[in-house]
Amino acid sequence: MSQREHVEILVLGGGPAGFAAARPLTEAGRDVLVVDENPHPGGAIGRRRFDADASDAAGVRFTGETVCHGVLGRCAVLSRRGELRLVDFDALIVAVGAHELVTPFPGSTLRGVITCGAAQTMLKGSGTFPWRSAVVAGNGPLLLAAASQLVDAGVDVRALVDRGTPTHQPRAAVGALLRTPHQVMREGAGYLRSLRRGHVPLRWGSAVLRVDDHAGAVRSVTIARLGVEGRPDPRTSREVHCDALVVTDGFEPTTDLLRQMGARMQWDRSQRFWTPTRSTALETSLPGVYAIGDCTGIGGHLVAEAEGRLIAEHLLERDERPARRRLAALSRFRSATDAVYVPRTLSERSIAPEAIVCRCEGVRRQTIDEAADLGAEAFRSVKLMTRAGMGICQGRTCTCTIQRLIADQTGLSPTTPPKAQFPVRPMRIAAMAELADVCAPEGMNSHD
Amino acid sequence: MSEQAETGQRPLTLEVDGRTVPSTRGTSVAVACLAAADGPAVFCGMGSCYGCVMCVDGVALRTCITPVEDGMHVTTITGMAPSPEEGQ
Repeated sequence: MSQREHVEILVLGGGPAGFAAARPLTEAGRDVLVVDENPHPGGAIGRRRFDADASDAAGVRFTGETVCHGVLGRCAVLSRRGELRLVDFDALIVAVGAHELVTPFPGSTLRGVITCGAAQTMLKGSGTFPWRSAVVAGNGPLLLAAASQLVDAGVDVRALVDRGTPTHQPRAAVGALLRTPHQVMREGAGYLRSLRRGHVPLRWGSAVLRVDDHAGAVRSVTIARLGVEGRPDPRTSREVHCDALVVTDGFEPTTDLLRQMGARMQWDRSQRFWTPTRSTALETSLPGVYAIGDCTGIGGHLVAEAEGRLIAEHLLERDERPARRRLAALSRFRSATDAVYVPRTLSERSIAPEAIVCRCEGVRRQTIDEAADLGAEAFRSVKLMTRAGMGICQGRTCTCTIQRLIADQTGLSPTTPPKAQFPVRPMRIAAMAELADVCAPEGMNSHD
Repeated sequence: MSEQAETGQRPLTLEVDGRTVPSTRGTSVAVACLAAADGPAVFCGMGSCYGCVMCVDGVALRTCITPVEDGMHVTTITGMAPSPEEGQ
């Protein structure tokens, strides 16, 4: 039979944001529970070895390997290894972070093509990388971090390929450097040293043209300089042999739970993704539901921690000013780096027609374009016509890319956030049946 | 249980589609399978894309964020297909 309990404050996500909030709240005697999908607290940035002691959570009550399938009223529907667990709460802090965006290319679904985050999880979590050589490609500062960590782990990194160039926005670059916190500067310098030591060729203003395979696994990566409309120019192509391709094109806030709950969302025109609207107290449009950290916009772990501290001060009715000052300083740095890392051209336009955009359902860009040509102006229509976004990941991997593609074609920003239905993460039928026994049926569609 | 946790790199074995696969504590099920053979199509590596879902002791789990335990029974998608003798 399922577990059901009540907590005063439930925190979804045990990363920097969730813990920065949970620690002071717990210390002040509040009844707090933090749950996370990973076995350990720390989030993606603080990933620990999978055999680390999971009980070390700085005095905070923490449960790992726990999925949140959705929130019905004031009750979070969770499960751990398939076992249903219901948690009623007074206040909810959503701190579920972000996931990586990868601009698809021919061969992007081959075995051995992984995100930077996956490479880091393998290195930090399992202490190993299952391939000997790799190319690191995409856009953004994470490429430097991932490439240097691979070099440090003894992986032969054969190229670092960035769509952007560090020199095409010199003013923004200087502005960002002046606002960079020392900690970040030190990290950056360390990455560059590792790359020099590993003799990693740096290919700026270039992108992956395609990946070729041997028996379904990566054999080589063909890269090319960006030409007209930001498409890789085949005339400049070069083939690099490697076992793995580690890719990232930045992050997207993970908002599926917030959307399922019915929180009001807004389309961020410069970052081109959806974020929840929030009050100055970091409360969403739903009373008592707060959202902090990367699930509200990509600020990184320092912003996440600062928001966590702020929400704790707010809920404890203490002086919020120091936390607000810290947050303001960090947000100036954030807008400066965003300016540096705006890719020269919008990357979705460069997606090849044959590239698979929806990995779960195998839907290619040309199919999505055809649906858009038929008048499918909204993501929902493309989804119904092509099945894109209807697979097991429930659209988390491709929805943002498709909305950007449609926005490019129509010249209009999307007006409606993609719908997220309960359960937003796959759930065992047995758990669903158990839930039906304890929940009123109307609870399931309360915000439809 | 706690004795095992302290030994760190202690070797263990999993059973993947009926085959014995060696691994060590502190590895994810996905990485254990990738190191031993073809492994699942890990992509995001952080539980978002579900590309690495396999059946672990009867429950469909994202193996990229599931730590290995000695004696786990893992069934891949290939392992779920009927064998040629069983027919369609």
